Amino acid sequence: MRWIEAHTIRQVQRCLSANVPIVGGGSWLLSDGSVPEAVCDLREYPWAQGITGNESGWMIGPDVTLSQWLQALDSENVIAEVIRKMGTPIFRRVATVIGAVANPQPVADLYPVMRLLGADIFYIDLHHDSIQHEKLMWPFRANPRALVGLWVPASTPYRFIAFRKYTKGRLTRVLLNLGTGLAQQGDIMTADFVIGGLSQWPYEDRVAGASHSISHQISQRLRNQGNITPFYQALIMEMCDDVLNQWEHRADRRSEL
Amino acid sequence: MRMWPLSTYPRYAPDWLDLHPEALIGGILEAPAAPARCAIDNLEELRGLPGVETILTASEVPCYPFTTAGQPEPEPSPYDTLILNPLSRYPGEPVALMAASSLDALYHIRQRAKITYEPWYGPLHDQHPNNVAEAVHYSSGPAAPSEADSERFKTTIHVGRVSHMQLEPHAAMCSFDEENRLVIITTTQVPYHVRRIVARALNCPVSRILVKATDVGGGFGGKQEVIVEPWVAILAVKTGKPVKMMLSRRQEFILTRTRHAATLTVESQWHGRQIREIAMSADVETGPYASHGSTVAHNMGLKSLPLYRAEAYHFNASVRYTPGPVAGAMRGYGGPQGAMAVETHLNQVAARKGLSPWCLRHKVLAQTGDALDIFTAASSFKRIHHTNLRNLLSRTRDAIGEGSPMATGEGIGLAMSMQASGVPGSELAEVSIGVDEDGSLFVKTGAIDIGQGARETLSNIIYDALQLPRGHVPISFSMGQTQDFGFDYGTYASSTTYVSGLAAYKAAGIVRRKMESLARSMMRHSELKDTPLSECWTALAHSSFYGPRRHPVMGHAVARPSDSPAPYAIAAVRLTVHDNGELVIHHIVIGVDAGKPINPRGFRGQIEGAVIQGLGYALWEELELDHSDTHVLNPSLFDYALPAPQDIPPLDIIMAQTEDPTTPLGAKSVGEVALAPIAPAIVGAIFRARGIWMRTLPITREKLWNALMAQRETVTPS
Repeated sequence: MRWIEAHTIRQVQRCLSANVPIVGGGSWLLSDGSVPEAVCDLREYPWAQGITGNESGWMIGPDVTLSQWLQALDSENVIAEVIRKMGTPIFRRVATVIGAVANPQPVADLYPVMRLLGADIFYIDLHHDSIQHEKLMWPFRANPRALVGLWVPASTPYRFIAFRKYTKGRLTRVLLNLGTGLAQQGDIMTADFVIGGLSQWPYEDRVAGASHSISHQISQRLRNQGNITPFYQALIMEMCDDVLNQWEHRADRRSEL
Repeated sequence: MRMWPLSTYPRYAPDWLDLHPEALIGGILEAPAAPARCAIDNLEELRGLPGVETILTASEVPCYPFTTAGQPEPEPSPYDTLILNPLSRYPGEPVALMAASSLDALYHIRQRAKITYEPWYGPLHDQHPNNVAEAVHYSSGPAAPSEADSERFKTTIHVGRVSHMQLEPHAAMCSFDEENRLVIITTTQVPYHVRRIVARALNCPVSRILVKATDVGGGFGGKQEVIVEPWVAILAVKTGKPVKMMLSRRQEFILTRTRHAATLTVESQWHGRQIREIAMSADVETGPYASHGSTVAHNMGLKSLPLYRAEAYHFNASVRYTPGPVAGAMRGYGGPQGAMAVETHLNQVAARKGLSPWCLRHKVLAQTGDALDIFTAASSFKRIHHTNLRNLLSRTRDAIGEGSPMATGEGIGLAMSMQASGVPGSELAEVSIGVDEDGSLFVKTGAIDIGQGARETLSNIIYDALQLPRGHVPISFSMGQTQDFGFDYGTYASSTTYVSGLAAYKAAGIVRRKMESLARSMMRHSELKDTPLSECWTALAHSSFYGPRRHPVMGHAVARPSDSPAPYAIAAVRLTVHDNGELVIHHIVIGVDAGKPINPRGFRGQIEGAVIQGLGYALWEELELDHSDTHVLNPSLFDYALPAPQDIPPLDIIMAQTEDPTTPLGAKSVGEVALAPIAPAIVGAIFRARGIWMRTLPITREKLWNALMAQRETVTPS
């Protein structure tokens, strides 16, 4: 297996056009199964390295591991809460943030919260000679691309963002996760939620109304989905109620972030 | 082959394999579907790929049937497999064996192989047209006990497949020695059975094969199977070169062995608080090859029914060939399935009778002197219970806090189990102990250290028998090296302490007598008179080589006990079941009667490990199959749930202060017994917490939630 450490857009594009898997870290851990003939490693890509931040947000480079980001975050931060629930410390020390975002798992843990935070991804594709960026959203476009940066804004429209997940075992694949963003204007509450694990791509929806009606509305939306088992409906509702309860009991309802 | 060491010195088989870069790397081409007749359409093209040494198909390897079950002769398992079977009976089964100079070359073969298959719709084995490998019927006591004043109860449970999940994968290497013998380095619990089974598969004398067993980095019975060894052996024979092979984690899941899935029904007839008749029937899924299926099925009944007094016992089992992965030996060996059925049944009977499970067991538990071998013919040796467990039962009950106030949704469950100490009437172990010129000891045994601390246990037995302080002289071991002799049926069935330990005890006794004789002879002429043996040990050892006697001291002994005393475990679990199906275990108490602990730290470790494995069996672990019950859906640690350290609840171990009377060591076995009662104890606790019986393992949160919902829908408030 050839290990290609790309340093230019042209090199990355050559890999993309040859269908060489892009490694943002983490993937190389999966030693079992089919082994590709070559991989393209972007961890040394010079465009963005490490964690750089200012008042408006953070830029996460392709070399940043989950563990490194976790250390850089306030322990109360919702992103820290998500990362702490991802795999084992050993996994977090080698898996990169970009790899976790780029890995097209329908229940990838970082995705719901990154979506709610309005994160941008920076990427190289085959059609542009410069680095492009857009809001993180799945499913990704059909065109191949390689992620080289993740921009996470510091400000958010939500006052509270929470994350919950359900797994079979403590260290096994996520079966369902939920990211919820809560905003409130007067008596009207808005809840955006992103649920992974119900369908091929995360299910996103928004409900708004009086705070006591939010839970009922989410329940209605889930029932309308049709194909969600009663257990999963109950599980999601329990997660939502837990989040709402946590919000209700917060003494200080300022923005979480 | 690997990027990291398992050990800093070559201790495990993968370490040894790494030391042989010159060896060809063996691999397999896997059947994509089963049952099916598979063919490789581009075989010659594959053989021409760079680095490829050989690719062997079913028609090119010896065709002598054997069983992969590592058991002594006469082998109870049918000879229903070949090195390569023309009919692939499970996905992943080898269609071809290959050897190449590099992993890359193997990868290219796998990438380019065009494997076609023709589905097979007939029976899995022609000799068994109804796919029943074996049917078992045992009965004892009156054929039809009186029905007068009697109550009848019935319980059916289902247990799924689980994987051994040992850390170290199956790995072996085969090469030739200077006398052209095949030398197999392997991670196995049964070196002498490996030698015999490989010899049968290759149709060569056992003396042509040397097995060098390494320490085992986790076996749990999975390495009582002879899987990889015939493959590397035939590849070495065909290429004339050393060949090594190590299975991947995915292959560990799909082509090694699993615990048997089974559906068990227990029926009992009661007169008041006495069991008149208890009957178990087991429908056992052994996978497409029988392996240990027959003996595991036997043990489902034989390791669970004798715990309780009854006038009559009946046991029926049907061992069925089924699609999917092959089942085999696994820690508990039928005991966990049997305990799940019988203990859940007892708990249900107690609930129906309005008794606590503790109270009912006090009434029906077997007494000292009752038969353990409930189905054995009157003329043959019959094992009996040597212990009255009622005191241990009471201590366990008190420790879990039975009778203390319970919160809503909280419950306490009880279950018991028993095992054996080696296979009753079918054990043989040989141990040789020599005293080197510096006084150190070397021990040759066929027993293996599989992580259970066999070295420490045997060392302690030897020190005690020699009446030397533990650690007084160094002891080095040759374990599982067939060229060194030290024959042993293997490290399984919880036999090491009771059987191999007994041989070590006897051999050490011989050494002691010889050393005492030597001492007496020397003391007559020296100032050593009345010196304790431990103080003149080194001088005696030196003298045995260079003194006037010139007769090195060795002891050799054999143990072939006909008894196999039962160790017992009593599990009490305190838990809470929440409305959302979440189950929180607050406390586990396990009372264990395994005789005198020889190696206290290892003893405790075995219990803790078994309890955790029992928790996994009860709550998380399941090898999931697709809709056709064929393909494994979760062959990775990312999808196969195991207990994590954070999942382990507070655990208290109560040791019964007993000494087994059948052995001078006073020790029984402890390796397996604590696994089986965990699941039924949890089931019992869930019932007492919520009033529902969970009859299918594992008890996942989803299953528990569904059961709670069903209960809520069916229970109408008054």
